[in-house]
Amino acid sequence: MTKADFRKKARNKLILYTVVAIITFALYICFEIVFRDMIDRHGTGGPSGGLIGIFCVSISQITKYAKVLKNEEAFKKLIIRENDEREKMITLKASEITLEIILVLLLIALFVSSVLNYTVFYTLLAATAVFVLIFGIVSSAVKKKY
Amino acid sequence: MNTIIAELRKKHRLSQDELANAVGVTRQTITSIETGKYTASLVLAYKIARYFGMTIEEVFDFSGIEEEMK
Repeated sequence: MTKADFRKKARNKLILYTVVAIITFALYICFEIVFRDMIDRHGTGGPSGGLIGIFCVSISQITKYAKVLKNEEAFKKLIIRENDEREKMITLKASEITLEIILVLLLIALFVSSVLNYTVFYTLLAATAVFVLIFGIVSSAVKKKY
Repeated sequence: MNTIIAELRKKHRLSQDELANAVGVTRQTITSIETGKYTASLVLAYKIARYFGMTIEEVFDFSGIEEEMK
């Protein structure tokens, strides 16, 4: 990736995170102020927390990209950090191991829940099926690419 | 995989950070290649060899791979 491409990518990300921050902030205001009396607190707590989380992540990303677009030295460091082949390999390996651990944990949870509670068992079974299905779809998409 | 990058750096009075910046990777990647923990990709190997004005075979030791192929 050339410097110009990366600069364009950084600008696009800056715009994207700004839009996400504005949308999440607006939704949070809707949940907390506009619909406060219409929805009970138990119902809004989860979404509000999620929105605050997304908003905070967006702000940190906006700060990061705004900084690197102004500072040439920081820009060069970010290019290296985001394109470093060893870092990419570490992320891939970590993802691979995490995937295997999650699948094993899901299978153990399936076994345990089949003895204790059928509602939990069917929920976990659906989650495992979706997990395997997504893995299959993504694998075939990646195979086509390479 | 063994390499002579550390010796080449010393010879050219280069720090790991300087070499890393020149070839577009982090300092930790250069450290891992020098200690043999990580094998550089073909592109990175080419960049490093080119930086020192050498060929890939001169910088990286392929004797282990040649043994495997026998």
